[in-house]
Amino acid sequence: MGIIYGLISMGMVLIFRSVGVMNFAQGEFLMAGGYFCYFFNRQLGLPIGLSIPLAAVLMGALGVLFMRTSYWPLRKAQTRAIIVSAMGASMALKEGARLIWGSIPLTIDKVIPGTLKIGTAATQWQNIAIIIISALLMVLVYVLLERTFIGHIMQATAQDQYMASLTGIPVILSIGMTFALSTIITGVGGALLAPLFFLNNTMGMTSGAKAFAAIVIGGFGSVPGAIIGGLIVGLVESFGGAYISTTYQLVIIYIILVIMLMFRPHGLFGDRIQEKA
Amino acid sequence: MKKTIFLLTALLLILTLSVSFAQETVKIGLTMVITGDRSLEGEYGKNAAAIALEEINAAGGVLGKQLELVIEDSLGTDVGAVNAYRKLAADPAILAIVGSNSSNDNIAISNSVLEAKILTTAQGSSPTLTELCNNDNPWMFQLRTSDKTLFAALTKFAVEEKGIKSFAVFHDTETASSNQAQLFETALKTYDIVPLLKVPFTTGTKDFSSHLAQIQNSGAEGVVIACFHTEAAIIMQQMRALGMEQPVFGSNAFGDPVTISLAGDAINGVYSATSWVPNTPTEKGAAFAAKYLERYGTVAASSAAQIYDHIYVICEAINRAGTTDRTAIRDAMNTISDYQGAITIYDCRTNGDCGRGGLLVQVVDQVPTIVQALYSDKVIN
Repeated sequence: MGIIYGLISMGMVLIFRSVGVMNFAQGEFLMAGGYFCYFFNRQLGLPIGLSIPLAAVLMGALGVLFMRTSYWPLRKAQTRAIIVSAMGASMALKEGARLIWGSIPLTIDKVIPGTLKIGTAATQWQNIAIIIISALLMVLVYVLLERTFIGHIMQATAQDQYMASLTGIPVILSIGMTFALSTIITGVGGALLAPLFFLNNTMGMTSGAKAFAAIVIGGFGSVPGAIIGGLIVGLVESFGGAYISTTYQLVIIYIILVIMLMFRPHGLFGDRIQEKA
Repeated sequence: MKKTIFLLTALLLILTLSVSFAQETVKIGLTMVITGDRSLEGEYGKNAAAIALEEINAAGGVLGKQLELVIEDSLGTDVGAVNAYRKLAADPAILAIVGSNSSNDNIAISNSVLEAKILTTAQGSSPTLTELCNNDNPWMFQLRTSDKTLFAALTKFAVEEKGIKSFAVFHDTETASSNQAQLFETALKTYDIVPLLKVPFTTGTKDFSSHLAQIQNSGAEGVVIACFHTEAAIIMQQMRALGMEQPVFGSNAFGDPVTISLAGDAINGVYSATSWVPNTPTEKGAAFAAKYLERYGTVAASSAAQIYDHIYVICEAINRAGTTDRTAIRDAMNTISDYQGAITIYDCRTNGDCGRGGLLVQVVDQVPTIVQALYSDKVIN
């Protein structure tokens, strides 16, 4: 789960870096990716290897639509207006999914079925597939952002929209691409999770909350921090449940969060920001 | 002036007509989870309600009038359940109300039921609800077979038939599942058996690796699990993926079609104490299941069968009362002693634990196969 939290929090950070607002609909992108994949895999009968990329394309389109409807009209408004807009979009996505696909939990094909057994230890092959595909996605995002012209445009817009526009960068296009990238990586995470944890319209809620914790632990605005934070949250969840309490897994995560805020509020990889009198 | 008089007259006419129209129907209210985490219950419930409505009206309705169902969304929370109930209770035309599918929610609405003095049927199976219906609330009736009956039967089967002597109890921390786990422990005490391990988890948990590791390390011969559908399916998949082949004895969710369709082959072999399976042996139940499948293309889950029976039992009470007086309808409900529903026979001479039957099933090739049909007569003191 840690690597999925990493994907979700990476998506949140990309949007945060681009527009300076935390996106509270990110969990619902996880859900939407799963449902889009269900549409291609189970309703159209396509193989899972084709369904996930097609779902990613749809997620990209959803990201652009989300940006144009929930963020762009309010870009000059107060931050809280944008946050409320995102929360509204979150509800709309949830209920929209329920209206389209119903309330009964759904599942899709696994990328790799079966179980890997090594001695007495066992894990599902789908877990291995999640790790490999997620890691690949993270590398691709890194390469895109750091090594390509488009990535540099996106980063420039994220750093200073005004200066970017002055240098001829199409800001709306750049922001749209950032949102699309964010929704794609989160949506693919949802498609990978769906065979294991099943699809329902509320599946994004808890994951979104844990991803937020991952961002705080990793450091606001830091993509590597988001990934590391996600892994930390996943490990705390597993080991905390195994050795401390299964009931209070979420509590343990948030205790770690509070401790982090008390002693290192900028997170593991975030920039220290201080105000001088 | 003339225009004002004309408008007022038109308004009065419309109100009179609408009131007249309303008096031509008998209204029953239903609180259902339409949105929220448990909205699948509402989806099944609405479908079943539509079937019951159609059948009852085709047969002449209730008290010679057409039946009308009014549904309010309880949001899957106790606060939502109270608000939905109060909205229905405020309508003087509503003669009875079906509570939502959760003992928690029904306990939450209990005070509102006492205030409103409307016959209310509760879908929950918790013994706490049984006590409340029997002792504290003469207006509330628990139609579902109590978990106490089902879990006593499940325990007896596990210990006496399957010879299991050590258990791990794995349960959701929400009220109904916690109660079910407690009932199992209580039933085990009669055999001088104490569970080796109790492993709780919160609703919505997806990764059970740490929980299952504890169970595996405990060496328990059998595992008892109490939770809802999605968690049940996830747990079974993860258990079997880890190579854990101990016999599993599950709460009613484990015999439900939703869980079976999600878990696939991983749920084969699991035993469950439940009140409903689509391949039920009751004639009325089989007819309902067939109609549901034909109309909606999916098998009827227990939340569908429950709504279907609740509506029919309430209509039976209204017909027996022969009047729309709420007190008379409640009193008539207490005269029902052997009403055959789709799920089981209902005995409402006392308010709690009206459903008398249940089923012990084992899932074989993804079909819940009946191992034992359970039935007990009500003890009236």
